[in-house]
Amino acid sequence: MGKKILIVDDSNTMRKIVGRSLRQAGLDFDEVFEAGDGQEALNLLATQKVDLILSDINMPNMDGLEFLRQKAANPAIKGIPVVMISTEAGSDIIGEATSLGAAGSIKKPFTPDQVSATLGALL
Amino acid sequence: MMGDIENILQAGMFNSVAETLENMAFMEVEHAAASPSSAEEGVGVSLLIHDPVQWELTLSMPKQMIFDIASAVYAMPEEELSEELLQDILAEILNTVAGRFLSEILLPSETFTLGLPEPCPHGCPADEPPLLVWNFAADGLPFGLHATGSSLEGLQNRLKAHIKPRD
Repeated sequence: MGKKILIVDDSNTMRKIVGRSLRQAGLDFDEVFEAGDGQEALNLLATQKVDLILSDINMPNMDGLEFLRQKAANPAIKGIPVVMISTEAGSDIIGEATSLGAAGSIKKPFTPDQVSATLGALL
Repeated sequence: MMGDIENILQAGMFNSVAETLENMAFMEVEHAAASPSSAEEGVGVSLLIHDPVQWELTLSMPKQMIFDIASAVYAMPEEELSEELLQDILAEILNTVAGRFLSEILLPSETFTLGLPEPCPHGCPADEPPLLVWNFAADGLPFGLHATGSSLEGLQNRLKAHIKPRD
């Protein structure tokens, strides 16, 4: 069965760029969903099963760290791997994301090869 | 010493802008001597950087350049691109550039915090003279960034302390 990926970012532009990079990276997936913040992502995950989540950290309404906290508290979705996409990669914030269960991080700006290297093992 | 700092800041911003626009829209960036003409129809966005020192970075770009980037990202004809989409593109460019720039000029052990980009649809008016200015061009179109904030001096002082370890 085809894999499904959820992209969480308040920037429509970044969601498009991530989607384009996923296709250029040659990863094995069939469908991409999008959410504009953590709350939208949780709403979508209540009805839609996905295999991998790519999430920004710095977002209005519900940021990426709060999204990780709430996801970890929900047994139905806590097992879905989340990779953070952020300008802050390598910082304390990424350390906090990792402690909250993030499976990895990709630093902006990124190339399709970097996306492939990080996500390949998770799909 | 100040020349070294100026070089680090200029090179850091050039690398950040070049990598961001290359990855986002396959654009090649070059240095430009002058800032974009005020007669040029431009759009701006500014971003507050909270840590390690507070300052503000502003990006101004001609509308045609944002249309070109938008076409590369969205694969849509110019007439279908909304103002909201153009602002979103500019905000994402600035956010990515700021993060990449701070990663380059700060030591790996130092962290930074960015705010959320604020649009200035008709250009960002400068409340105070900029402390740093960067002028670039891509595909023949000039664009620029500038930095303001009294705490920016704090960033320059940090760089002074870093110059020796970087050698």
